[in-house]
Amino acid sequence: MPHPRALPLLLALLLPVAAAHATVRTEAGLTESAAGKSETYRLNVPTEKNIGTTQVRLLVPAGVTITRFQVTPGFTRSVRLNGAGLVTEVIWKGRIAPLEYARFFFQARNPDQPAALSWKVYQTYADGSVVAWDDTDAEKAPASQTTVK
Amino acid sequence: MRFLLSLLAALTLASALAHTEVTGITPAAGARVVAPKTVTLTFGEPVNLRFSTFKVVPLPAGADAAQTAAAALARKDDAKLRADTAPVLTGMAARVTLPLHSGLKPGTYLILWRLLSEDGHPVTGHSTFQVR
Repeated sequence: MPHPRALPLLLALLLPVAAAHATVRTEAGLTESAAGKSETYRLNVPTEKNIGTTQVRLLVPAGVTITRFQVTPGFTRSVRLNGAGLVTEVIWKGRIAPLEYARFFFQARNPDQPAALSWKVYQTYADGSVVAWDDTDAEKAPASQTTVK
Repeated sequence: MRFLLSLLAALTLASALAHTEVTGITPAAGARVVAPKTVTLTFGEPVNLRFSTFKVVPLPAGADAAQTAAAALARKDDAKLRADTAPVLTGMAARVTLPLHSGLKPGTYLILWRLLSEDGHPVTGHSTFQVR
């Protein structure tokens, strides 16, 4: 029987830490990519409550040019464009039930210069609550980072 | 060896095999308008403006549009021959607006472009409009 004090630590180590985060990674699962490269990114959104997710909103970091989205059956997608016709924001509406996750893939051109990309994601639940994965609570709800080298 | 190299290239470029097309032009092809202030082009996907070329030139009566377009695309330092202000364009964009000189004489004008697609292939095209 482990020492009682060590039990919570042991449990924390055993629980998969990253399972309960909305994350953006490259399709290969990396947090880094190359400057100027046409990369495929993957936004992974798990539902962490016992009610469903109804909307996912992604803010596109400055310098990133989204070029194409993979189809996402079950979700409708709308985008916000800037004056140059480039996507600054994506909103996917659809249902991610409890115990489910959804993956949204998109191709994007990285900035030409090295940069630290911060992906802000806002996840809306069926009760209207929004979880802000944008570093306002950097421990509980961080924004995913991609290092462009 | 060549086969392996092409296979490798195809595998690594899987995301980039797409030609970019012009999806909208203002003034529209064949439109007859009062001298516009700008010409706007929209593209099927974002392009790097630095590696693309856009020009608006007068099309003399009887001249062949395709030949005039090809010749104008090849010219360098031709700001004096253009109806647009020859702006230096950089950055990614899915839409470009070219300012035109004021007081354009009536006649036919040729909008011409060469886009560099994501797959490295250039896409050229042209469109005409009339100034009343």
